[in-house]
Amino acid sequence: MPDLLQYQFMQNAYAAGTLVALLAGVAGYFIVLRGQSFIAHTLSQIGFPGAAAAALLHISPVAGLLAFCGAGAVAIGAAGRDLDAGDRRESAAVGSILALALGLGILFVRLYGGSAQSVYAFLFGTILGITQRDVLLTVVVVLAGIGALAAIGRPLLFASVDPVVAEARGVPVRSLSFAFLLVVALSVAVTVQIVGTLLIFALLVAPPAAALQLTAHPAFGVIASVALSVAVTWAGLALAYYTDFPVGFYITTLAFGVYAGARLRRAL
Amino acid sequence: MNIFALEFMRIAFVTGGCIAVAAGLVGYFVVLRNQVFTADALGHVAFTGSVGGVLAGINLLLSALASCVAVALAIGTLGGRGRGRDVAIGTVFAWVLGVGVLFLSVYTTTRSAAGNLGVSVLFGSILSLQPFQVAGSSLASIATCVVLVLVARPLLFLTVDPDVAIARGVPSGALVAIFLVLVAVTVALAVQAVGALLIFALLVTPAAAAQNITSRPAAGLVLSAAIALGAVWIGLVLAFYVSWPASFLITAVAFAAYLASLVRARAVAVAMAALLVAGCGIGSPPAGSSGRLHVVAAENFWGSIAAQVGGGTVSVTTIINNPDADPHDYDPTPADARAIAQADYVIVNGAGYDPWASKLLDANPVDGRKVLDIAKLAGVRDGDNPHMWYSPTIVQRVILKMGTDLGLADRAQQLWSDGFAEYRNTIAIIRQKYSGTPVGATESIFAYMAQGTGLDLITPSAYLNAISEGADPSASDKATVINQIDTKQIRVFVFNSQNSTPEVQGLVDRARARGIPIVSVTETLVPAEASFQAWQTAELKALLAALGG
Repeated sequence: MPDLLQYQFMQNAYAAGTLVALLAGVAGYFIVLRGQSFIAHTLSQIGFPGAAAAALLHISPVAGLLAFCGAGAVAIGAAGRDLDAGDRRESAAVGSILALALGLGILFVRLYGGSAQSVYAFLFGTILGITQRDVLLTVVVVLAGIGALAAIGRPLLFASVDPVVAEARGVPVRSLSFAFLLVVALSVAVTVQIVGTLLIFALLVAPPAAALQLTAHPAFGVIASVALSVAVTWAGLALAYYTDFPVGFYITTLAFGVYAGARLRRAL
Repeated sequence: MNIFALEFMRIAFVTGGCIAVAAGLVGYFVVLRNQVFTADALGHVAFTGSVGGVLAGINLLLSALASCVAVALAIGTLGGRGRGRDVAIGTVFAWVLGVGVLFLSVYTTTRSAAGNLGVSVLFGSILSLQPFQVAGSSLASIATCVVLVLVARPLLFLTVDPDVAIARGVPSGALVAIFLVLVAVTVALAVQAVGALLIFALLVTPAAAAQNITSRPAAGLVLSAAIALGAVWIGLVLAFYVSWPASFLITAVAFAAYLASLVRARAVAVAMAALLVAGCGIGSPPAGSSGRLHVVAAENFWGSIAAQVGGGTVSVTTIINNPDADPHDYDPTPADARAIAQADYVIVNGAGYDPWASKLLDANPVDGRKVLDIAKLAGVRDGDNPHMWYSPTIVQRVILKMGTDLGLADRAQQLWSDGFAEYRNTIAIIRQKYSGTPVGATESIFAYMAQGTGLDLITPSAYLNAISEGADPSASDKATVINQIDTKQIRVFVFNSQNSTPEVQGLVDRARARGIPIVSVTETLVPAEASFQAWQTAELKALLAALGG
């Protein structure tokens, strides 16, 4: 076994990181395809007040995260019900919800009397402090998330690429979009406490965007997206282990590099 | 006390007000042009820029401004609209945030007690603005308003009907660039007031509310600025009385205005005006006057000593009483600022441990107030281990110094020789029996006590500091600590039970599983009403017992 995997915490980090990268690669592909990066970002940050509220009420952080991310998905779904994705009023509504949610987060931290430690842990994750219980939980959520996406994948793709035609053909576009938001919210809720709001967003957007630059074929695209996000996660963890700089920095930098590289390759 | 009697409240009202007006005006176009996501990205850039500036030792406001303007212009060159643009922006800003995390990590591992910096940049610090931020922010806000008003007409034309506008000779490229620079400047300013994560509260929410109420551009612009200003001022007034974070209250007021705009448009302005008037009219909280000397201690361990030295001649207020609160990154409330403004004698730990306390002192200058900075007394510099109350020699010096300062030198001498007898004896026993014994710890909090008792603390000091400051420890240090536990190189493992992160808990469980005795220590007094020496002696006795008695 290489030196890298000698310790339990690195084994756990690799296991959880890989699982999260798998789900993020698949869900992210649809997020980028549907032009919902801003919503993905919002949902990932709504986890922060959720975790803070859970600390305040002395309940499990997962429960708080699930409640807030779920409620966030419902609120965003409701706010944008009559609007097209990317509409300016939708962006404004989502932005306002996000600001309120983060404001609540800092209020809960204050009421709890917590420290910067807890704030950073929620925001930036603690990938080097993952327990085996966390890994098991991640396995369950990732399987459920990928299962749900596989079930709705084909109609969701249709609805994402051409919503008007899909609706005319009887595809339930609105329900699908809602279901997708919920899958994103629930995946974010469980993975956020491990990798942090920052990391989950980088993985949700950059590798899929790079994959879309490389191929227009959906199946290849999803595979490329997953492969890139897993590769980025593995390399990021290894670099962090050997050089002592934060994992979040490496994973976001590598993800950005992959995206920039894909754009450059296309431009040439 | 009147709300405007405190200098920091006046500063917050004026500076926050200027920033709010600029954000309301610029935000109107941000929403109209559907560039909310761009604004969000710039907020994250401001975070990285601010932390990077502090790290490089340059002015935090300048570095935030420079990085925001640079990225805004880069976003301008990305061009395109909608999906592709959003993906490009999202990818860039996830990366920028990653760089910010790197800066924060470098900063927290090289300076002491920097936990506060990241949180205040992310969530704003309107109640502790620095002098250099005040003039700069106000002037930049006013300049932003002026430029925006000058370009408002062609910019509106370009936004509503770009094709016709360009055909009529409106310089679209230049206008878009100017606008992005305005957004960048506004974001960098708004970060001072509400923080990088909450800038939407000033930049997007008021504008969205205004556009719900009126579709007339001129009225919308004025209304957007008015709502932003109302949110900041009402939020500040509320923060003065309820001691919740000002940034949350500002956000909540803005969101309430947005909700109201969805329901009934005109009610908003009336309700906000009424709230503001009501807020300012609330009676002032009474100021205490008992004839005794007012002593304010930033932390309760020093407060306990001051109360024992002073006895009945002083009334001691400690700011951090809650055992759950970590003094490193405490965010002071207006009530704390009031207490310091009214104090005769203020005790701060210093060494970067409670930077908020020094800020409150600077913000509320009072004639004749004495300040005891423990770090200065002990010759401990910023960046050194700030947990000086764990050092027996420093504790002795502090007791004697307080006696001199309060004119009670005899009482102080007696406290040290009698009241602290058991504390001194326990330390002497450990030193005599276990000098040189290797021990491990999770935090630098234990380092002075290890020194005082002669124990050999072999945990890497970078690891101790990282856990103390709430930074992620490096993987190789973590590996060393785990190895020391697994091979039982340490006789006792000491951890801070007030900072029991999953990381710390994991190490404690590991040590326990290997049969290494665990000793828990705390950052502040436990129980909160215990005396300093009772608390410390209990910890020392537990340490002695774990070593073998």
